[in-house]
Amino acid sequence: MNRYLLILITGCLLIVLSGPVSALPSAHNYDCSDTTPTASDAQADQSSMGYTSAWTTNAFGLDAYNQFKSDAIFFFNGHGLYFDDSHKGGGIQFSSDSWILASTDGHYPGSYQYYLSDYGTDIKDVLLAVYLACYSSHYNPYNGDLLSKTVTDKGADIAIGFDGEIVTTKGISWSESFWDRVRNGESVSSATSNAKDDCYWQQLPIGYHGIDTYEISGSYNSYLTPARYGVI
Amino acid sequence: MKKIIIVSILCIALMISSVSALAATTSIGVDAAKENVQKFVNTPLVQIQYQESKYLDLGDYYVFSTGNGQAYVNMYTGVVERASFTDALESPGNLRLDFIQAKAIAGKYAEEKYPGFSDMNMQLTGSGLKNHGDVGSEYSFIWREKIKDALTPNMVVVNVNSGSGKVISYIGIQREITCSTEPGISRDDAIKIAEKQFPEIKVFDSSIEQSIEYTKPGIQSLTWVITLKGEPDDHVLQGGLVVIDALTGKVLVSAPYL
Repeated sequence: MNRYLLILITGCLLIVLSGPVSALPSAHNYDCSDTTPTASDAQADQSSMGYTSAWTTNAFGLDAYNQFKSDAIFFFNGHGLYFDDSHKGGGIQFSSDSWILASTDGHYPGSYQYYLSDYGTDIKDVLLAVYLACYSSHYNPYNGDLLSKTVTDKGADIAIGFDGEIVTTKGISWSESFWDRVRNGESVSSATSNAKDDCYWQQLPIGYHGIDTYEISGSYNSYLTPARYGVI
Repeated sequence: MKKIIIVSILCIALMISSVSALAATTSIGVDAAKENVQKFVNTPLVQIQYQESKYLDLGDYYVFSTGNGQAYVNMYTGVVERASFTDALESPGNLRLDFIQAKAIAGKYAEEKYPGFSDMNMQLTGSGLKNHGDVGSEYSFIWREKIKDALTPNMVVVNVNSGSGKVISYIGIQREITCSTEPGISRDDAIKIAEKQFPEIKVFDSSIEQSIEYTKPGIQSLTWVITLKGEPDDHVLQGGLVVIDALTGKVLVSAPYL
């Protein structure tokens, strides 16, 4: 009797343990401006790397905010936050004027706000967050810093943002090159830098036009393969 | 006798032009390109492997991995027109170059890799320290040739690690200029056309330059490149980038800020 009980418990434990291990890490990609088809392009590259990847155009902020908690990779391409030259960065805009923001000191841009600062350990297992938006790596005294909030405070492995102004066409070009390069086995830092140079000469007009202001926080020498969640 | 000499000269001239035309449209092949990469990186033990061919508006390329980076070789001229060195991305710690030291490194590299660099009218059109967060920072130097008021596609880009002084990446393009350098559309008219792309914005900053761009494969066009920054709407920066054909006034690119 004890023997059967032992086999049953072992079997149950195996099922419970094998569940999360066999599940493919998830990735979500968002185009929230005139930036298509970067989200679907990124989704295709992530799928071929072994992620369960999805893409959405003009998602609502809360959906992305909730989904972020179960993501290994989060990719956003759209507008960044700009009050004025002294108060820019710290937020990304989704549909219906909804925002994901690093934090707030009492300033509430848009109609709906969702804060990274409100996460507990929810995004600790995120491998990579890419915020392709104007000023997305810039510290805003009103709404904080997306990169440091994502990596330093909340424990994600890597985050990429941009300190300057980015135009849609250069953003699309960078995104296509970046995801292509990480799929082909380049490290995050190598792919980010090389994609920057791809933009310089592949995309009319000649020049970086803000793409050279990229910043990376965290384990920049990591690779995205094999598909996995970030280190907890 | 004079007639024979003239006919002979004409024949020789015809032969030379035919050979050069053939040379410009015949690819040098992967093996010859690989040898050029070897000479460019000048590191005997490096493993050079062909990766792919790329077809861009400004040229066709063989792309090679070089163990610690990539090299792009122009298929027809054999010139290495782009190289990156991934190991140079690593930040070595406290050692830090100042702007003058970094510029000297970049300038020396440009002279070494780009034939005629010192003899051309190269203008330093962009330079500065770029902070890349935890990866460290790099000095970026961009030189472009200027003919009359137009920047040409003849350019050198050298990015230097601000800590180690190693070159992170290089781009060097040299082409014959085949398009007009006289705009048919004035600067003021170009700005008016650009402003129509972003109606109702309040512009607080702008820039404009004449640039010869590759607008189609192998086709150069004189353009106006304009940026317009407008006051924010719904907490989003307004305006963007507009590229206009400087002969016809046609809008080639209209890209808003993200």
